[in-house]
Amino acid sequence: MKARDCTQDQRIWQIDDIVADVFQMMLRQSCEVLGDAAASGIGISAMVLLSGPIEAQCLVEFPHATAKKLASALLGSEDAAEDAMIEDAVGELCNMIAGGWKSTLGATASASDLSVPAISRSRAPDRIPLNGCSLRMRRTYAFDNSPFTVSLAIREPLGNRSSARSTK
Amino acid sequence: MSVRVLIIDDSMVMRRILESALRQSGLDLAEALHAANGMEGLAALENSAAKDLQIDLILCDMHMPVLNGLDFLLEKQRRNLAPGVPVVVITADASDPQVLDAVAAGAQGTISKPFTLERIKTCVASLLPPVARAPSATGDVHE
Repeated sequence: MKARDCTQDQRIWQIDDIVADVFQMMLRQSCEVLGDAAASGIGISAMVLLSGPIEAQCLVEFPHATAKKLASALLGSEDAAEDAMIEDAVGELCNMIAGGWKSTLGATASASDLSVPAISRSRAPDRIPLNGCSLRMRRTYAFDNSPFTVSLAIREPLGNRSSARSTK
Repeated sequence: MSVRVLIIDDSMVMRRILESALRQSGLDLAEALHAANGMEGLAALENSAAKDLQIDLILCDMHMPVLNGLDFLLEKQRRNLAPGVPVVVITADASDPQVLDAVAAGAQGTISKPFTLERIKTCVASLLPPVARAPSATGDVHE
């Protein structure tokens, strides 16, 4: 395996760890990796952008039923049926994943800024040019048998590409 | 001793999670005021001061539209609002250099998201006197 492939694998595993930590800490639930295929029936998506020396985007996509389940689990109650609350829950999840991911990207990334989550009722369009990205990945996860997808893309200086830090 | 807490976060879900965590961390919570950004947070502090109601603890997200956590702290200081009241800043971006700026501007605690109930408990216990804690409170965020 080439060194760069190994680094990309490590970065993907870091994302798996970050997503798992968010679910374990905030929802007390496990979250399993289903694979690289996108979850079907996307109803709500949230995107956080990283801008500065490193440019990146973090997109999470939820079927509506999964998003409703997420909101209920985060709030510890079933009264999270309001659409605004459900969208807010998806945005907050995206925010935590993006923040955790940023902290693994090394010192260069700390000078980049995270945006507030942008919510969309469909798949959000890519916001950074994806050609030339040093990492593009898509992972589908499931909690409580409910799937959702996380997609990441990053454009970074060449010198930063081997500096991803271990999260564990 | 019952306490009044101001929770400032643009996410209403996170505000509710934090309020629930505070209640379950053993705090004798009389009232939790919610604000969606730093500007609303300043208004809540001014309203409380006008009514002579004390705020005992402020939880403030760093990353918000309109007025962010750092600018809230600086403006709070400039207006001399709630002097001496402990402020805990909360962020999903632990690598943000503004967190250090917030500590320099008076924040006494920091919490990274995601967090555990234990982290909230530890932080609150370090900032509030023991009499502010309900004697029999136990539990967890989602129990």
